[in-house]
Amino acid sequence: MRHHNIRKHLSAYAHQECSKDEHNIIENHIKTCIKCALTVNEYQQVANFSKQIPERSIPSEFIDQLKRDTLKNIEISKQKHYPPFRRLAFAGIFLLLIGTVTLHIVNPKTPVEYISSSDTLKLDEMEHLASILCNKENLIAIIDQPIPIHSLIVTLKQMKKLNQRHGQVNNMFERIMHQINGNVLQEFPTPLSSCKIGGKFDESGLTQMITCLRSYQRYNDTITFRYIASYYQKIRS
Amino acid sequence: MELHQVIQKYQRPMVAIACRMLGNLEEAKDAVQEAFIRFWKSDTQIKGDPFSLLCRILINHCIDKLRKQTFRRFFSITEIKDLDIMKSNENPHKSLENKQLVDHVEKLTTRLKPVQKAVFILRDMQGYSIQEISDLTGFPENNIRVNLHLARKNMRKWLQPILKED
Ligand SMILES: [Zn+2]
Repeated sequence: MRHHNIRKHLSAYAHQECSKDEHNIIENHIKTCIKCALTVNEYQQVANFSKQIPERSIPSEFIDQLKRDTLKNIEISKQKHYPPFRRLAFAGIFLLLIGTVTLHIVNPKTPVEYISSSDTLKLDEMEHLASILCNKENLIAIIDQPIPIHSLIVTLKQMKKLNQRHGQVNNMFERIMHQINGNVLQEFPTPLSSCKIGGKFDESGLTQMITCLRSYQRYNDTITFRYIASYYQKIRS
Repeated sequence: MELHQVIQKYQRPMVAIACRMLGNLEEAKDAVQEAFIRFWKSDTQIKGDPFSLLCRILINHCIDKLRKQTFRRFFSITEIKDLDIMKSNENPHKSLENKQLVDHVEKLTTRLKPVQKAVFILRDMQGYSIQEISDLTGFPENNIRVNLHLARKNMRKWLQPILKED
């Protein structure tokens, strides 16, 4: 194995998780490679610190309370157990609600054609985004769902394309932004500064949002728009 | 075994895991309760040792919860402050006590992606073997190895300013 391949196994080596063969190869390599030897040493230091992290003490009263509450909650959910058809009905109404609002917002002429023209963009993802953007009343219900960032980027890219062709998406989203009384949809504080997604849904605005999401993607695969609601409430009050 | 016996027997180790995953007792309590309720709803016949199944439900629930919260956690103000302190210190490892360093390592785990965090806690903090973790989470062993490597690599990177060079 070469230096490059060996590096992937150094953390396992430092934790003695390698097979005997791997172990021997790495052991020989680090005799001559200072960089890898240093890395192994660093992994060992981290391992040493991690081991020392103390367990939190859990008070007995806490445990008793937990058991009582759990049994009580199970009793309650026994009584509240909705029959399946009722749950289905709830889901149906919810979907209908989102669908209606989305259709109202997305160009009703041929939305499906635009949306399905890309192999990565899915109708439900577009609906998801649209419902987040437009439906203030349902905001609380929807914000808790994590959205994969890559699909959001794809959606924004698609919006860019639609913009170039029609310009109506631009107007539509600007109208929505106006409705929620502000231009900031979501603020992303990063350790160095904060970047904002939102603002104008024009060419440069969308490009900015995509850049911002890409940088955020380094830390996370999904994003949860729980801040819209709090932001909305802030501007409202 | 009756349900209340299952709860009695496993709640403490479950709270311990959930507490490390979620960072505080209150959230851990909610998560463990939720796990027991889901376990109960799954109508599993309690034969043998249900600990693996309970953990699987619990850990996956915690991962879901963290996915929803990571945004908030990662950028929490206290963490950024700590990092600033580290940067401004010329030789931080000399001025920080071991306990402070361990505290700092614990805080840094909140920056790991949820799955990485789960395997890091189970392996490097709780000391479960990779095979046991596979049993407790339902993840394939290979997947665990990869995520474990990524977690350790991240931790090493973030801790580099305070690691000794000898
Ligand atoms: Zn090397």
